[in-house]
Amino acid sequence: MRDLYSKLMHLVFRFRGAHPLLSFVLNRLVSMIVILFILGFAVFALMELAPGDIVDRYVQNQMLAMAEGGGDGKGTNGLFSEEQIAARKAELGLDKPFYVQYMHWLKQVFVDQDLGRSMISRAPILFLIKTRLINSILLNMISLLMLTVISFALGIYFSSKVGTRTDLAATFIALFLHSFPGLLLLILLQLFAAVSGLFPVTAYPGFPFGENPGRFVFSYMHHITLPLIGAFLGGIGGTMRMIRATMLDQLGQPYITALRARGISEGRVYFAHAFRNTLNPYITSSANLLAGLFSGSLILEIIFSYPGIGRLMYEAVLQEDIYLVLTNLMFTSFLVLFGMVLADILLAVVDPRIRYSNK
Amino acid sequence: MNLKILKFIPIVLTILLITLFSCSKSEEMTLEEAQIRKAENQQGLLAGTIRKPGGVEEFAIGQSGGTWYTTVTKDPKTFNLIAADSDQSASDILGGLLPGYLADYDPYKKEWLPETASFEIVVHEEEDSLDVIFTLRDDLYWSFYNSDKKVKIGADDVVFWYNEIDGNADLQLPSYNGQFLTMPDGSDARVTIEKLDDRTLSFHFPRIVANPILSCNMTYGPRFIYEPALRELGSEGIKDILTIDTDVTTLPSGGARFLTEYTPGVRLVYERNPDYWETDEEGQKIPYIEKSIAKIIPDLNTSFLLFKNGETDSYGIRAEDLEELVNTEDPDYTIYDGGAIMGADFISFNQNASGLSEHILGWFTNKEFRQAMSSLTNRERMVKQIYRGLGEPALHHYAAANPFYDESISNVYTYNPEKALELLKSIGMNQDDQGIMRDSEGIAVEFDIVTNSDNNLRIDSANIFSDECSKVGIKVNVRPLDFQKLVEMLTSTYDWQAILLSFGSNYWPTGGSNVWPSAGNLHLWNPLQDEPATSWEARVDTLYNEGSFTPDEEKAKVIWDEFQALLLEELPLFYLVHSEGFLAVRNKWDNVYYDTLGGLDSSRLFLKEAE
Repeated sequence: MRDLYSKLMHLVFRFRGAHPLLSFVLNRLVSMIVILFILGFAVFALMELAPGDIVDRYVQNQMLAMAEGGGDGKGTNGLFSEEQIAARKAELGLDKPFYVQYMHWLKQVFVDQDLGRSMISRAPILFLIKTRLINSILLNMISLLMLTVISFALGIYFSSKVGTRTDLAATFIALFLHSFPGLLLLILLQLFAAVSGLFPVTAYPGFPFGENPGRFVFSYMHHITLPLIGAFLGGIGGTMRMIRATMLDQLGQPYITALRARGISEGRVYFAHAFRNTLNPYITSSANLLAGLFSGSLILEIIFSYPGIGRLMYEAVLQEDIYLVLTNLMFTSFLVLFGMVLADILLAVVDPRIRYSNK
Repeated sequence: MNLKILKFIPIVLTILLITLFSCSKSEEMTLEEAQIRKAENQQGLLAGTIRKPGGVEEFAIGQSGGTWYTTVTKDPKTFNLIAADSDQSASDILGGLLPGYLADYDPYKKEWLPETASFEIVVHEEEDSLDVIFTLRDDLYWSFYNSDKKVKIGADDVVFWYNEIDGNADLQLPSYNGQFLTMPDGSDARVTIEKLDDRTLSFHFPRIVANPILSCNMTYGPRFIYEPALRELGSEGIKDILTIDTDVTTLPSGGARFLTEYTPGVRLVYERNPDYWETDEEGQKIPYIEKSIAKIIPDLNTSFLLFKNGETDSYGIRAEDLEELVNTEDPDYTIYDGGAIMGADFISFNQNASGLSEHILGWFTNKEFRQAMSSLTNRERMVKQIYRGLGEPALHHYAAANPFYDESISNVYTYNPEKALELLKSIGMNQDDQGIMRDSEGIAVEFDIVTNSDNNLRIDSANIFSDECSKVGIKVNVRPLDFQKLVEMLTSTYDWQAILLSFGSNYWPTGGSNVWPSAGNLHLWNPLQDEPATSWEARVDTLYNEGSFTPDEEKAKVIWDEFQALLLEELPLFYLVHSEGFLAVRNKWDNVYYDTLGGLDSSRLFLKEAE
């Protein structure tokens, strides 16, 4: 037994020595699975701690509705009996301890390969997520791309103007935007749209893609302009300041002075050397940026009525639709963790110091 | 450096000067002047609205056409009628695809009218039982979008739905329990259904009830889909059909419209069902509107902006939006003042011994204390300050639509601090030298009032109540809480003192079966009593029971009059304010009648240009 263990460990160490980056990635993937497992467990435990469950919530609301004396006044509605409530809970598995429910969910997802159905509507969760995910990814990717390109350009430009009035003004504006409440910014933008009539007050065209694809694309771009500006203005301050600060830090390094002393052109100093080194902290932070964009777009989705995944998640949490919440949460957590792994790989690609190699 | 600072001096001076000059010397308004100004403002607001209630004039004959744009706040969660019972948004959406109820209650005439069936009530006095015989219309069909296929609806459909869907114990629908009546010996007996012929069916009531139509009125779904599914998949599997990913164009409609498109999170599109049975007085099919598009907009502010931008055709106006809509120049919409809404918030005091200290329980179980609290409730002030004068004090127990609503039976404990002091004195409560109200044992009268934290209007009402109580030395602490926490307090922990909430309206005398009888699980001041705790609750139980089984209207009126009067005398809860309901509709639509009693009948709307 001991021999087997030592052989196994020997193999592991040999593999790590031969393929350091691959071993690192595998390591991160394994830890990602463990973290996701614990996270799911914690979510179930937390939902258990919250008072009541989906059936209680529904029955309570129904009791209040009943007290109104029969909705539209055309018919009476009965009430749930205690036996019916117990039967409903049993049907949804809510009468079992939370860890049993969690195991049941895991078996359903990984063994049966079925994300399950929403507790309330019995709608397939895959359908619910699928219909909204593409919208969220589209908006967030455009937003991330725009934010990255513009904030890099501005960060680098203003780092070359350090100490000037332009730089002072840019720093002030960046700080102002960074500290401006995102919610207020979105509401102001929506009011601007309503008053000026230049933009729609919702962020999604009023007709589906299938109706008229060409018109949809133009309409979509028109509809997301303001929310994009909102997301951009909300994010630009922080990112631009980070790029500018890192650039300044790099430009003050002795190797830059050495490069300049050798007569290397200023453009090459900026883009081939200093800029490349600013990527390191940006990539590390952009892993969180992706997840942040998903969770941060919730307010945008509600105010601008954008059909994204944040709205779905929000409603599911309010209604304690636990399977839907869990699937959603797992997806977002997976994005964060996957983003981090991706960031580590990218770092290794751009930064020769981080190659996880002993060679 | 100093020079740099000097540069800022002119800027600072300019700001100071602007601030000083902006201060005016005019005196502040007195309270009376402010109230006059407010009343003028309110009249100005109302002058910008019109009253055009339903039930007065006949609808004009219209022409079909046009697209009606509206908003809904939520996505439907299912297209299955069985699962829809847990989701209001789905039942609202699917309701339009159903043929309608068997009968229709007209709140203006206060009588039952035929809807998809005519009816006859046969009373068997000697057997103490009755039958309600419904004869279905001959032109009821399930039809399909873009198809000539039609499925006729007959008595079998109603019988199937009553017995095997609503009456299926395994499906655990709340309507199941509604099929049972309490017999004189306390046992439960089911109202049964029988098919008499292809279009006629009869409900057999095991005892005579006061309002049999209400007890058996129902609507029904497509049997040809649900029956095979039930046989094949069982009561569990049937809930998994027609989920949200179903192609909506395959959904049959027996109602006014087809659902022709659902884009998650974006919109729902409906088109007129030409086979729908309802017609206008000249035999033309209604609704006149050809197509309806409901955008899914979760945020009410966004809905408001969409209406202002002309993107939707109607908007249920919130109090805060009214002024802006009224003051818009040359609007292309009209604001309809629907009058006072039927529901109202109330204040109630806990009388359940399990969650209260002895002295507080002593105060709250005292009728005079509750009457004094009602006398300290300044409803007029709430109307003025919270609803900007657009509302009226809620003094009746029954809603105006209730067949036994009686204008003369009202809460007499209206705002009167002197009367309140007298009532408190009669139970040994007096103010001390510092003005603090103390009970007969010298304990200062102080309690908490809870309400839901997401409703500013309720918090404002609680604050006004608290302020009025403080004037006579009673300290009322306003505690806003999460709504679900409130429900939990009412239904399981019972550890609240006073509460400010709303249950909607008492539309039917037998409505609120879980509130008014002492055994009710939402008899909120002391729920689930094995035996009535007080003599007046015992009397309320008796009256509720007698009234429910007294079909003779004159006799029933005597019972329900006493029922209302007793609740308005004992005041286990007292109502505050009926706010006014407003609706804005674009001027291009004709046949718009709106009031809070009947709402807006959109099936009669037609485009003016089409005239």
